[in-house]
Amino acid sequence: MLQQHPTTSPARSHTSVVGRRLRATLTAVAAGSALVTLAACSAPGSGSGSSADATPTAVNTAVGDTPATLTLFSAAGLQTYEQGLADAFHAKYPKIKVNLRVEADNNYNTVLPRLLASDSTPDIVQPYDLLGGVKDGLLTNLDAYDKAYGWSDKVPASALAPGRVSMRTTGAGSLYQAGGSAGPLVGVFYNKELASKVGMKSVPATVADLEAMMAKAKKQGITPIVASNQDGLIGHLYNLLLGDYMGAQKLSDIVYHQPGATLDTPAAVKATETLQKWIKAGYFASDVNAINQEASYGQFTGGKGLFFFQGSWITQTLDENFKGKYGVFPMPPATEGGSYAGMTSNTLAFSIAARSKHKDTAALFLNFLTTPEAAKVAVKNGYAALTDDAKSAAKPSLSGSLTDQIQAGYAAIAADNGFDSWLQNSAPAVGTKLTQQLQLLVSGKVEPAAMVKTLQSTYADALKSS
Amino acid sequence: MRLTTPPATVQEEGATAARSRTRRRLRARRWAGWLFALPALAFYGVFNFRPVLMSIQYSFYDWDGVGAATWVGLKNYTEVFTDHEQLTSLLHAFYLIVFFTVLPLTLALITASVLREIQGRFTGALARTLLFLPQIIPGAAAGVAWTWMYSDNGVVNQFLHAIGLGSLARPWLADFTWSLTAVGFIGTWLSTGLCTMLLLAGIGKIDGSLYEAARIDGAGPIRQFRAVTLPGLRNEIGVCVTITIIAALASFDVVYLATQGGPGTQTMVPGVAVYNLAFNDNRLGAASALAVVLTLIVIAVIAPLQRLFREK
Repeated sequence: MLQQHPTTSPARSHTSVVGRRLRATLTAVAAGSALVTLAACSAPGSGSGSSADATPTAVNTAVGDTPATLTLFSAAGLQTYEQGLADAFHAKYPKIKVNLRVEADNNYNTVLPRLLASDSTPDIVQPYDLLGGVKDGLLTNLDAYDKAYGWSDKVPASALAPGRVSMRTTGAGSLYQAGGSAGPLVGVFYNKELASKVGMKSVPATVADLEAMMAKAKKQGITPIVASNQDGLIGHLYNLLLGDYMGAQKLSDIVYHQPGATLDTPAAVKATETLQKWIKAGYFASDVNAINQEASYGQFTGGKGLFFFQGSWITQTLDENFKGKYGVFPMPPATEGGSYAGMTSNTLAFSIAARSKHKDTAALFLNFLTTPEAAKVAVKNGYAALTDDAKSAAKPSLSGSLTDQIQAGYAAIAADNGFDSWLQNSAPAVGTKLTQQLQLLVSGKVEPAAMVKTLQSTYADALKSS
Repeated sequence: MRLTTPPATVQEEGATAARSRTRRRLRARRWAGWLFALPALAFYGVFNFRPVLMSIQYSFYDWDGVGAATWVGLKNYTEVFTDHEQLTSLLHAFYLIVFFTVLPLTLALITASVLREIQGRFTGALARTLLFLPQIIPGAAAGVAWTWMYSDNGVVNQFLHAIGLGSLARPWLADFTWSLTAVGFIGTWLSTGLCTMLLLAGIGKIDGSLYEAARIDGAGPIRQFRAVTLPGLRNEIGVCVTITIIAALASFDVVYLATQGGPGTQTMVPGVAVYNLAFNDNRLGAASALAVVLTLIVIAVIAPLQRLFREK
C-alpha cells in the first residue's frame, strides 16, 4: 500500500542524514539501472522465431511407424470433435499418440500466438489470425508436404484456398493450413415446436419470407430471434445478411485483403438496414446486449425463441435433452431465386507450429485429415463434408435428421459457390469494433450508413499497420 | 530500533568515540537489514519493477507481441489523448470513484457508527459477518452473479415490479444510460464491507473516555460523530479512500465479466481497454501507453490524498 506510517523511533532523527544519503544513493542506482535496462534492450520481439525452421524443404512421409507424441491445441467447445480426430488417427497409426491441450474458447486466440512463440509450443493448431501467424514466422510453410502428399490434387482447391498466404493476403500462395474439407453450416436454427406454432411449413425461400415468420412469431408473443450480443454474436446474423446482399465473393475479398475491397457499399448498408429494421421491430429480447453465448444457448434450448442464427458447432454443446426438438436451414437468399451465401471455415484444416519438433509426424496427421475416416468424425460432430453422396443430397427441408439438414444446407451453399467468411477475420481490430458497433445498433445509437463507414475505416487502418 | 543516547555528563572524547562506534554499528545493522530484505527485493525487482520498465519501453513501439517491433515515438501516447474510446474510458474510471469510494465510505461511516453501539452482542457479530461477506467473494464471481440479478427478469427488476415501480424496470447492463451506474453499484456492494470493517477496527481504538467526556459536555450522537469519531478515524479513512480509488481507477474484473465494456463503449474502463488492445487487437505498444498513463493518473490522484490523510 501507499500508506506511509510516520516513524517516531528516536533512531530516525539521529540517522536522518545517513538515511537521506542512502536513499539518494539507492534512488540513483535504481534510476541508473532503469536507464541501462531500457537502453540495453533492443526493440522487443526482434529475432523471435528466427531459430525455427519455418520452411522445411526435405520432408519425410514415412513416419507412420515411428513412435511419437503430438500435441494438438484445442478450444474447449471443439474438444469432443478434436478428440475424435485424435482417436481415429491413433487407431490408424497405433505408434503415434495425439494429446489435446485444451483452452477456453474465448482465450484460444489470445493465447495462441504467445504459445506458438514459446518453447513449449503445441504441434498442431488452428489459428484464426493466419496472416499474423505467418508474418511473425510462427507457422510452417507446408508447400513441401503438399508436394510430397499431393494434397493440392486430392483436396478441392476451395477448401485449401483459405490456408494459402502470399504478400499478406489470403487465398493464394504458399500453403500454411491444410487437411481435408469439412466445415460448419452457419445458418438458421429453429425451434420445431415454435415453428409449427407460427405455421412455418417449408424452408423460407427469401429473407422476406423469413421476416414474415418473425412477424408472425412476434404477434403470438414469441421472441423471434435468440441471440447474444454482450459478445457481439449478433454478428453471425449480420454476416449472413452481408453475404446475402453483397454477395459471397465481395465479402470474402475483404476478409482476404484483396486490393480495392471495401465494405463501404450500398449493399452493405442495405444489409445493415435490414438488421436495424428487425431490431426496431422488437425481434430480439430487449436485454440482448447483456446476454452472452452460454446464456443464449440456454434460452434457445429453453424454448425462449424461434430462430437462432448460429453455426452447426453448437450441436456439440447444446443440451442433449433438446436433441430432436430443433433443426436448421441455410440463410435464405436476399431475393427469390438468388444465391445462397454463408460463412464457413475448414474445420478439417490445421497448421503446424514453426517451432514444432515433430513436423513430419504432424504432416502425417494433416494427411490423415484428407481421408474419409476423418470426414466421418467431422460429420458426426455437426460439420458438413462434401462427400459424393452429399453432393446429390436433397434440397434444404424442414424434415429429415439434423445431420441431413446440415449436409443439405452446406451442399446448397456450395452449389451456389456461396461460402464466405466472417468480417472480423479480416483483422483483430475489426472484431473488437464490430462488437461495439452491433451493440450501438441494438441500442439505436448508430445509423447503418455510419456503422458501415466506421467498420470500413477500422479495416483500412488495420491494413495500413499490418 | 532503540538507541542508547550517551548521557550528557560524559566527556567530549568519550562522547565522540561512542558516537562513531554507534554510527558504525548502526551502518552495519542497516546493511544487515537490506540483506534480509534482499530476496523480497529481488522478487519485487523481477516481477514488479522489471515489467513496469518493460511496459514503458513497449509503449514507444508498434508491436504485436511476437514479431518485430517498430519504434513509433510518442504516437501511442497521442492516441491515448485523441482516441475517443480511450479518452472516455479514463473519464468512466473517474465516474466509478463515486461508486467505489464516495458511496461505500459514506455507508461505512454510518454503519460503523451504528455498529459501535451494538458491539460485542450477538447481533453485532452477525451484522459484521454479513457486511464483510461480499469481501470474500472474488470480483469476478460477483460480476457474473450481478449480471443475473440485473437481467431483464432478474432480482432487481422483480423487486421493482413488486414495489410498484415496474415502469423503472429495464435490462440494466444493456441499457445505454444506466449501464455504467449499474456496474458502479457492484463496486459499491464489494467495497462497503471492507470500509466498514476498517472503520470498525478504527473506532474500537478510540478512547472510550472521549465519548464519555463529549456526552457529559452535552454532545448528541451527531456531535459525537463529528467531534470524536471522524477525527479518530483519519488514518482508517485514508486507507479506505486509497484502496477504493485505486480499485475504481484500475477496475477490470467486475467490468470485464459484467459487460466487457459494452453496450458500445458505455462501460469501457482503462483496464478493459488495455486488455482489448493487448490481447484482442494484438497492439501491445498502444496497450502499454494507456497502462502507463493510467498508472500516472493513479499516482497523481493518490499522492495528494496521502498527504492530506497523513497524521500531523
